[in-house]
Amino acid sequence: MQKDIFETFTQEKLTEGIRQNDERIIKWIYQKNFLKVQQMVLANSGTMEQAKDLYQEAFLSFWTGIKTGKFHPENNSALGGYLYQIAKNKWLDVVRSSGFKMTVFPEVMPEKVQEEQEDKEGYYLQIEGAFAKLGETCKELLTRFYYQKESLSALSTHFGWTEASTKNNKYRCMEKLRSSLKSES
Amino acid sequence: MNPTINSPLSQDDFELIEGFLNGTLPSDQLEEVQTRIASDPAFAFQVEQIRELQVGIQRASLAAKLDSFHTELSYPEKETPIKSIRPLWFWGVAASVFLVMSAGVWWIMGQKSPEEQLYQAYFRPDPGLVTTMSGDANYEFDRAMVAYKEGDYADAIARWENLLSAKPESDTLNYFLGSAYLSSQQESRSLSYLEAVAEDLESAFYSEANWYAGLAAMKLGQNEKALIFLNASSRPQAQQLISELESN
Repeated sequence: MQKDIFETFTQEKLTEGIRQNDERIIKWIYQKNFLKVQQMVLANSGTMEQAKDLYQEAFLSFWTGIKTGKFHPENNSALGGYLYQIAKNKWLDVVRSSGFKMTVFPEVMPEKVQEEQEDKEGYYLQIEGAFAKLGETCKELLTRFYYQKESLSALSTHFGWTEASTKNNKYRCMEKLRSSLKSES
Repeated sequence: MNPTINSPLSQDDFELIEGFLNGTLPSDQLEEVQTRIASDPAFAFQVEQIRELQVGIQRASLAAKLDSFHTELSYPEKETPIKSIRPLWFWGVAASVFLVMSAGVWWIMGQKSPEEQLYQAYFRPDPGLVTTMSGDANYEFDRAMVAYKEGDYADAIARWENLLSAKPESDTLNYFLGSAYLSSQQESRSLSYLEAVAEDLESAFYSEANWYAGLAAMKLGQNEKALIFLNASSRPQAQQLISELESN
């Protein structure tokens, strides 16, 4: 049931929404925090396009941190602060890269705070790439099951399979994904 | 994590691992999995791999949606208009009215200030949010939104002002009250609501509030104020309007 966005979400509700893939909440967090990050990038020699790309990258890291339980909010603005910090760290990496030309010195860019899951980012990107190469049926099946949390019986109705076939096909799709990661590693 | 051990995974083991990760295993199977994780590094690796694949699949699905979230950030969701079937006479009358109005607009345009002409060229009412008319606490907000989208601004304003007394800090209410007042040509009242949102950098309506506050200030002839608002808006038309306004 869709509710209006002006409803005040608690940090617990937002965290739970992320864990359950509640798209209304995920979209709300995405839209609520973008402009602050955009302003930080624009104020530090970035472009609108860079702000968008950086934010989306940061948002996926943020989502992963919540999803895997690496981050637990402790106060009312903790989630927004966590997302902003990830974005700032990523922008520091860009700013300090040799190919980046600064036209203005960053005002006060603090030292980078180490992200715990930073080392996992490459692996998740590898999964993303392997997932994109799967066939359409596998992609749809896995998205509906793992992201949209659809039940086996709903999936069986949707695809016109028995529940046993749905289970079997899910296993095969996961094996395809697993083996493509093996061959890429 | 780069896999170092890659042993085949049977369907039985796969189902066992998924049950373990979902917390749905009965106690005897749970014990079996825990024992195997402790004693069999290849199995322990597979458990971790499936856990990460599950997260990775969800992350890939989310990544595919981010551009649509972003598009809605600049351009609020629009509902598909419902086509209505009207009798032929309606279109005859509508065409006549249009011709008379066009002649009137042409005459009036000659009398308008440059700011009013710019306003007319750029102002399009905010299309509003999608409503579901559900039976929950937001029913009243949704009713007002329906009235707003039907152009019944007085009704929308009355309902939203009533809600605002309970939630004076709500950026959504302030924003849509500002939009409703602006659409009913009450620019000063509109500005008083939009300004609060236009200063709230964390509001999802920040960019749009600055755009409409800029238009309202411009129509009131407050060009310097208008430029400050417009500069804070990320709407693509904002820069074009700024240069036209500055050349006046």
